[in-house]
Amino acid sequence: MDESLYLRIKQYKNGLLPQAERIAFEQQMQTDPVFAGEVATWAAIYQGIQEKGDAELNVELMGLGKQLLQTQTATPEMSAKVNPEMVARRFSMPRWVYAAAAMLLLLLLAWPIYQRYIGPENTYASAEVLFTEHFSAPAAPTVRDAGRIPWKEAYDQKRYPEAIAALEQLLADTSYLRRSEAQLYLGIAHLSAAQPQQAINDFQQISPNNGEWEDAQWFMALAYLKLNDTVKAKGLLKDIADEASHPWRSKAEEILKKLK
Amino acid sequence: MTHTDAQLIGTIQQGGPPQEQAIRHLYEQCFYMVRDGRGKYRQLDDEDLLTAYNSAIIAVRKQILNNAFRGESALATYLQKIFSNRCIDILRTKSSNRTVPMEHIPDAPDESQDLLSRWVREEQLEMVREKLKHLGGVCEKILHLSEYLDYTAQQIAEAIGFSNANSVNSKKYSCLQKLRELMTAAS
Repeated sequence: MDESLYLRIKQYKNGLLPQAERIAFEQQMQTDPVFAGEVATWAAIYQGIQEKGDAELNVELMGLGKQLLQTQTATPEMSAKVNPEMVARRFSMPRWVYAAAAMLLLLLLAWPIYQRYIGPENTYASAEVLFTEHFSAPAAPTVRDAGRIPWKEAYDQKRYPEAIAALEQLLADTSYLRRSEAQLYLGIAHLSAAQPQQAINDFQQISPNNGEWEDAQWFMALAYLKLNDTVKAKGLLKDIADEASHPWRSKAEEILKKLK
Repeated sequence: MTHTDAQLIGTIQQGGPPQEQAIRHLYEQCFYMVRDGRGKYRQLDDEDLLTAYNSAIIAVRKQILNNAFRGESALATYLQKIFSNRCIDILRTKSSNRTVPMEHIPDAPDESQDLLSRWVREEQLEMVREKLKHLGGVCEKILHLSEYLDYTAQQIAEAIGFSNANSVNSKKYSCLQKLRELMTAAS
């Protein structure tokens, strides 16, 4: 066989034939049919060997690929052994991370809008907030033709420690007749002075038979809200709400709707 | 370790066992494309993805060997482009009546599609495929190592247990001649 011809064909196929030789080769192919026939036959042989080689390489690579896929599926950490740099570079987040991040972002964006447009009646509020919203100390009762009464004066002027001291002094006097009233305002004064537990103790001294009982119930419920004792607050508020003629009924219902 | 493009290209062009190693390195180094392909081409199964990837690797090998790959882009980018095209080809084959909404970027021009390829007749090529099967073990092995994997005569001698490189060379040409004669006898 013409080994040099075969080598030239290989060089031509692989783009390694110098340009001048390449041109001469192609010209001879076009002008010399015998040469062209011989070249075509050897070129077919070379091409056939290449095709067979490609097929064998493909089989070999298929085995390697399946092995790599199996290794990576069975133990994801093994992929680092295959190619740590590339795996690190190509690390991709699991889809659930993207989904969670998207949800979080949506919540962050939507929350202020929700807060703005949602009606307050639909929002669960904290006990402290409900206390602040609903508590206001009523004015001290007035008695016609009564002279200057120290506790009332201090109470109305929001000097609660002074009012508390005066009321406690009054209640210490067992002969004092308006005890329930004093007990109620002592409790309210304690509540105003941010002393809810003392206020509850005061309200508990009032008998259900007294005219101050309904106010005592209401303010005691608020005192429990202040203490964040929603269970007891709810119990009292339900009692109030269940009484059709209770003066604080609608307020109690309003709070019950907002309580968790 | 990661092999640079220059290392891989140089070793592939070197031929022989180092070329085989370099192909394996390239294959493993860019295998993330197959894993990524699972998410990107959901209609393709692992077998399809491997077929596309193997085909891309073989194409890149060929382009490196015939100097069609000029290093204008990174080897991985080049491989990715060919791999994507192969995946799209398979998708189109699988869903011939559906439109695949993906851009098909043509591979770099294959300069091996030269005049010579056009002169080779399909029936000649078919005959070579057929006769190669009947060539016999040693000839088949020598021609594969020499003509496909670019083993040197010395490397072939070591691989198949020949005493020296000269005997490999003479055997190789006698195998080629035998193939030629088989073709002539058949035509």
